[in-house]
Amino acid sequence: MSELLYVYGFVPPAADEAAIGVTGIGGAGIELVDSDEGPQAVVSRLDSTEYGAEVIDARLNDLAWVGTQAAAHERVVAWFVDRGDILPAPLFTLYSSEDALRRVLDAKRSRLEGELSRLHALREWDLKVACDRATLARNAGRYVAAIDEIDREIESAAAGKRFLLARKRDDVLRKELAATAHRLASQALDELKPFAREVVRLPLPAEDMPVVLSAALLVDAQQEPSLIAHVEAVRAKWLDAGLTIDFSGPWAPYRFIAPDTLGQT
Amino acid sequence: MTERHEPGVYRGQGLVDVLDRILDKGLVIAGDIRINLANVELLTVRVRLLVCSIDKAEQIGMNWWRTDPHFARPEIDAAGLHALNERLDRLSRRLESIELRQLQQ
Repeated sequence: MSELLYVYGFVPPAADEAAIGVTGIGGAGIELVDSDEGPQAVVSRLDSTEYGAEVIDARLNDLAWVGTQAAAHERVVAWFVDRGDILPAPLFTLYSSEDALRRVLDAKRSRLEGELSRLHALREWDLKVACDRATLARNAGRYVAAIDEIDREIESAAAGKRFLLARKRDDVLRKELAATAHRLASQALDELKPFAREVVRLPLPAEDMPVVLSAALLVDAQQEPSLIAHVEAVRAKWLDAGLTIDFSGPWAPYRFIAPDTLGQT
Repeated sequence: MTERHEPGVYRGQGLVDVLDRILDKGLVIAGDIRINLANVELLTVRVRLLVCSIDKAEQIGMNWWRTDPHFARPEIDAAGLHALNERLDRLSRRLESIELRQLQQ
């Protein structure tokens, strides 16, 4: 069989290969490859008949298969995240040989060293805010002045007028609800920003999704306990606005690695 | 290497979230074995749609402020809103006069 090298990411020099306690794609073992004692690539040796480019191209539509490989990739990256620094590589980063990989390690050494230094002890946390429109609609008076005004009128109105005011409330809600959900989600993110070194807002694929905000936060490992405690407070604060906050991590800093201005190898 | 965080405690995300992160993010130093980027981009778009819908869709419903019949009525223009408000005022005055008559009886 011919083999290829699957790369999970890059770690600082002199990591202890014998201490690695995780298996990779297809249950393969994990090795470290370096060049001239520089940053090391975290790799598995895979059978090219199972993981060659043509095989992967043909299977990219099979979400279950891709998901299995993704879970194995992330398992390896997460193992290193829990123990030190790693610059993760995207899924399906493949080299034909150690020599080919070492050439890239040589050519990109200063970039790898620079990014490992810049992102030392920093990890990614992901925030996703969804909105339950029924809850937000019910409590909208707390967040939209026009609705608050109508709610006050409804309180003191007679039965017939109350019915008409309720219809008016629905009309205002229909116009304001989506914008309000996005505005409140942004406020929730603002409350977490002081704990992060950097924040990136991630694009939403459509306006009418249940998820109204998606963001990634780059956080110093020492700040994580404070951040986690604060997330709980933010989550409780926005519950009556119908916002549900998914917060996950720590992940490798996938979304904070600087683009290669010199181009890809 | 020393362990500095209890692994996985806050990593309870679904697979699509993991895929969204690792499909095209990270240190892009493409290997000398290249897979078809167009296929990866298609997969990325598909995954991104899932990420922003699948988790909450069952609880909240897709297209929630467009397809909900309660909120998805046709837009009313300014003239329509004015007419509606006038009608509201007329009905309010009528109701108040009825209530007043009932109090006087």
